[in-house]
This record gives sequence, structure tokens and C-alpha cells, in this order.
Amino acid sequence: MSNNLNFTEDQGEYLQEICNVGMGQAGESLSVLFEQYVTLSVPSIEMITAANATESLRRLIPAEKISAVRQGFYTHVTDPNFCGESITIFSGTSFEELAQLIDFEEELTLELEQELLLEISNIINGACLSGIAEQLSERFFHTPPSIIGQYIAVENLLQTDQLQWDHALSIKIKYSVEKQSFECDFLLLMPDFAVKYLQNVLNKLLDEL
Amino acid sequence: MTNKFPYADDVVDCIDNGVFVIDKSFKIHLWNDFMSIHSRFSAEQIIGLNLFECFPELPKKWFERKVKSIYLLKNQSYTSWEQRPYIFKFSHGRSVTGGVEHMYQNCCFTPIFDLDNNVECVCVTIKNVTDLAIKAKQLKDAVTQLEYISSIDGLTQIFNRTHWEQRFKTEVERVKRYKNKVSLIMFDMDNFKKINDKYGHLGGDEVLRKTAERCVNLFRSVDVIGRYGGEEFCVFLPETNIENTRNVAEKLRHAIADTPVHYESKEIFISASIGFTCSNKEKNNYEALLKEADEALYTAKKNGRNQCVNFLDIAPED
Amino acid sequence: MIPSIMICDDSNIARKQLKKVLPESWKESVKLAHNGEEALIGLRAEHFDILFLDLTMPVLDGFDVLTTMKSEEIQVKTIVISADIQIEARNRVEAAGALDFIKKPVSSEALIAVLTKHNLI
Repeated sequence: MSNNLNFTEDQGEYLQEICNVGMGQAGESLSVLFEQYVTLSVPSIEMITAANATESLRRLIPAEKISAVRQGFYTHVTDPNFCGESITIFSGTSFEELAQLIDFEEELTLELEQELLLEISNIINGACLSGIAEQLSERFFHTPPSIIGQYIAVENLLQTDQLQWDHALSIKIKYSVEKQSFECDFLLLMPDFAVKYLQNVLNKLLDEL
Repeated sequence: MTNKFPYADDVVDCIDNGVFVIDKSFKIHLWNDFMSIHSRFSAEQIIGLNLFECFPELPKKWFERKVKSIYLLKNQSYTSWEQRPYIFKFSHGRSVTGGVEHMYQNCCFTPIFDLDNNVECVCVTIKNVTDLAIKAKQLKDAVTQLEYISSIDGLTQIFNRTHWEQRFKTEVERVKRYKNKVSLIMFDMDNFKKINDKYGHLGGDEVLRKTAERCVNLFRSVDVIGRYGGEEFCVFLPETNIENTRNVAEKLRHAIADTPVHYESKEIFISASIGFTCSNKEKNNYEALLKEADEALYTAKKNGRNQCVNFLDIAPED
Repeated sequence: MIPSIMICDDSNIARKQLKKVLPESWKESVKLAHNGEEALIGLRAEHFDILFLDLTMPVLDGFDVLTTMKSEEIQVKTIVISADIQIEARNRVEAAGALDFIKKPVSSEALIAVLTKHNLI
């Protein structure tokens, strides 16, 4: 199973293009909301293993303490199950700055801070995935976002002793607004059974090219 | 041409969640039975009216911002009871068993598109999660309780050794980082075995309880007291220098020795041997500090008990 | 008259995707550049009627190409093709001398619309 998951060069490039588009859409949504230019990084795509999940995460997210929100997505495709999860990671942005970005005037309580995290994560997730979905001719359905934790270590993002996959596709995109020192990492994760379906779709798209 | 299910319109009223639809100006276009039952408005009454005029207590600014972002970004949006217990203050179904003031709600805002793929209106669903929320809160309270219980010594009701040591360790690390200081007092009841033999274990227990009580009354709320061993106690005092610690240690000695403990119409005379020390730039290691206090305590015992010994007085010359 | 076209994008897939939606008769006279530097070498060497330019490329990105073209007075009708579709990106690009901006992935409708708008087709 594991060896079949290697992407060919063409598949990898196509996936990169698809992610660029998804990322661009999310960037535009954020910039409309923030009324500021949002800097986008080139998506970095790789396969990670369950055994090295913690190390991979530490490498992808080199921050000590983070706040993170997870959100699941699924499709009509159930055999194999084409689904995945995104994790939006905030490290370092202050809540005061976040509140300023979306014109939030109320006094910040713990609950309002959490609402901010959830709202921004939901926007990035929705926009990015709808861009990707369109190109895959798929429709993604989302679960509501939920907070994994605030000021936690990167190790705590996954339940590493209960992972139901051996390999997963990881796509990381960074969004930042320099003027407000806003920065967040969007991590899109798809387990091995979903990756196989994705590769088939990519092959079809490559044939049509 | 597919035949539309003839009762499709009734389905909305079968849904066990609130469902309503508003347009950009917050005019209501759909209002299901759940909403009618829980609000004062039937569908006939409310359709065509403005949402905020009918519900002035709604968080208008927040609601407007939420809906505006859906028109802009064309995505779905959510709220959770954990951050926002409710949007509409509806009553819950626990009118008899009680335990809660209002319905807890998870909500979802979904855009409905026209043929040009612009957002025509927004559908809001309100899910009653009161039972879930109550259970979650109970669990949280139970965990907090459990955490508290596991940190307390049952007999004396002060911190047990494990928890006290953890607190002390954290304090020493803080002191290291911010270049502050902390003092440590360690004391042991004198002749405790003899007290147990003479008055029984219950008498001994009363002595320990009373000693802990006198400690709590004597020290400040920032000082952290713990039962370190069978008849041994530790106290750490943040931001306290050695001189002030000496004074407090002496006060402690008096508090213990000056008044006997009353037990079953008897008077048990007690005293303690006390050792104390203070952190300094070189020795900011919690184990070293414990060792110093322990050595001072041992010297107090050796020198005849019922006294205080400062580690710095007995420390070997550097 | 078939215009001479250059497509500059570091992604092989993106270049193919754009070429696919070009009018059929134009496909023969398309030159491909893998990055900004290659594009400039090509642009200096011969005249091109239309340049399709990606923004995010390593070494020399789309903005750099546009500014260099301006300073070297290389006149080519440039249409930027980009995944970054923020208003500010579009404005920056047009200020730097681009004719127009199409978001990725390029559909033939969007392409025809822009080409028609600028009388290129």
C-alpha cells in the first residue's frame, strides 16, 4: 500500500497547481475580510507517515506554543472514502491584532477569542477547499470547526497513538498580513485511502490536458 | 422531469432544529415550526418582518457581521455553544428537572445561491444542544473537583507532597527566569512517635490537623504549605528574603509550641524543629534548596528541638 | 494574422493548461519560458505580440519581469495569469505595465473575453 502512494512528477505538479488556486482563493477571501493585502506562500506538499507524524509536524510548524482549529471535509465519494481534515494554526498573532483585522470592537473575553480563531479558520478552510474542489469537479461538505487547543505544543495536534492511517498527504500554506503581524499556517491533511482517489482524479485530469 | 415530493414543504417543519431564512436586509422569508414553538411568532406573523425588530435582544452587530461575511465570501459559517451559549434565548425542555436557564445552541449559517451564483439569502439552523452542554459542563466540573482532590492531603486538607513539590519546582523555575527569590521552611513535629504512643493515632492525627490549621492562619495566602511526610511540613514563601523568613519561622515556632492541642479533654504539648533557607543566584535548584532546609532541620533536632535554624548559619564557608 | 505568443510559468502543468484554451490556430506559434529570466532572454531576442505571465516564479517573479520590461522598453502586450487574485495584486500588476489579469485556472471564456476586450482576437 505504501509504495503505491508516491506521486509521479506530473501528478505532483498538477496537485501543486490545484493547491495554488485554492490558496489564492482563500487569500482573496481573507483580503476582502481584512481589507488588507495577504501574502501567500507557495504550498508545500509532502507525504508524511504515522510513525513520524510528530517529527514531521514539528518540522512543518516550528513554533513552541500554538493555537489550532480543526475542520473535517468529506464528499459524496465513499468508496474509497474521499475525505480529510484541515488544521489552521496560529502562532504569535495577538488577539488584539486579529480583532482589529476584522473590525471587532467588543472587549475580548476567552470565548470571543475562540470565536475569532474559529471564524478565521472557517473562512480559510472554506475558501481554500472550494477552490480545490472546483478543479477536482467535486463538492466538499464541511463539519463545523472546533478548537484543538490554545497555547499547546505542536505534538498535541494529532492523537498519534490512535491514527487510522499509515501515510497521509500534507499540504501546508502560510498566510500573513505584514502590517498587522498576522500569520497563520493552513495544513490540509488527507489519509492514504483518500490519496489513492486523488491520484486517480489527477490522472484523469492529466489525460485531458 | 423529476416529480417533486408533494410534501417537500412540510419537511422543514419536521426538522427538530430551528430553520429560518433571511435576506440581505434581514427580512424573514421562512420560519419553521421549531422556531414558531420556541419564539412568540408563528410563520404567518413573522414572514416579511425584520429579524431585529422582532427580536431586539439579538446581538445585532455580531449577527450583521456574520451574515455580511457570508454574502461576501459565499461560504458556510458556524457558532458553537462553547463560545456563544445561544443566539436566541429560548427556553429549554427541562421545565421540571431543571438545572439550566436557557437552551444551548449550535448554529449554522448557509448561503442559498441564485442562478448567477450570487448569494440570494441565508438559511440559519438552530440546533438544541442543551443536554450535551449540561453533560459537558458536569464533566468539566467533575474534572476540576478531581484535580483539586488529588492535590490535597486528606487528613490536614493542605497540599499533599506531590502537588506541593510540583508547585515548588515551578516557583523555583520562575525565580530563575525572572531573577526573583523564594524562601523555604521545612519543619518536623518533635517527639511525634511518643505522642502517637501516648495518645493513640487519633491523637496524633489531631496534632497534625491542628498544626496545619495554625500554619494556614499564620502564613500569607501567597505562601504555599504542604504536608511533606508523616509529621513533616514544608512551606515556600515567594519574594521573601532570609531575614523575614527568620522572623516568620520564629513566629511559627511559637504558634506551634505556645498552645497545646486539645484532644478528648486532654492537653497535648507539642513543638517542632524548624529549618529554613533562601534561594540565591547560584543555588536556584529546587532539590538543592530542599536539601539545605533539610540539613538545617536536622541541626535543629540535634541541637535540642523546638528551635529554628538558618541554613546559612550552618553552611560550610565557600 | 496569428500572433506570436510567449507563455511564462514555472509550472509545466500551468503552461499546458493555458496552451489548451488558446484559439486552435494560435497553438503553433507558442514559445514557452520556464521562469522570468528565460522569458526576458526570449523577449529581448525577438518580438512577441502577446506574453502570458505567471506571477509567482523562483529567481525572477512576474513583477520583476514587468519592471525589467518597462525599464528596457520592451513592448509586449502582457496578460498576467495568476492564482493570487487579490485586488491589490491586480492593481500592482497593471501599474507595472500589464494589460490585464486573468485568474487561474484560465477558462476559454475568460481568455476570449480578455482578448476581445483588448482587440487581440
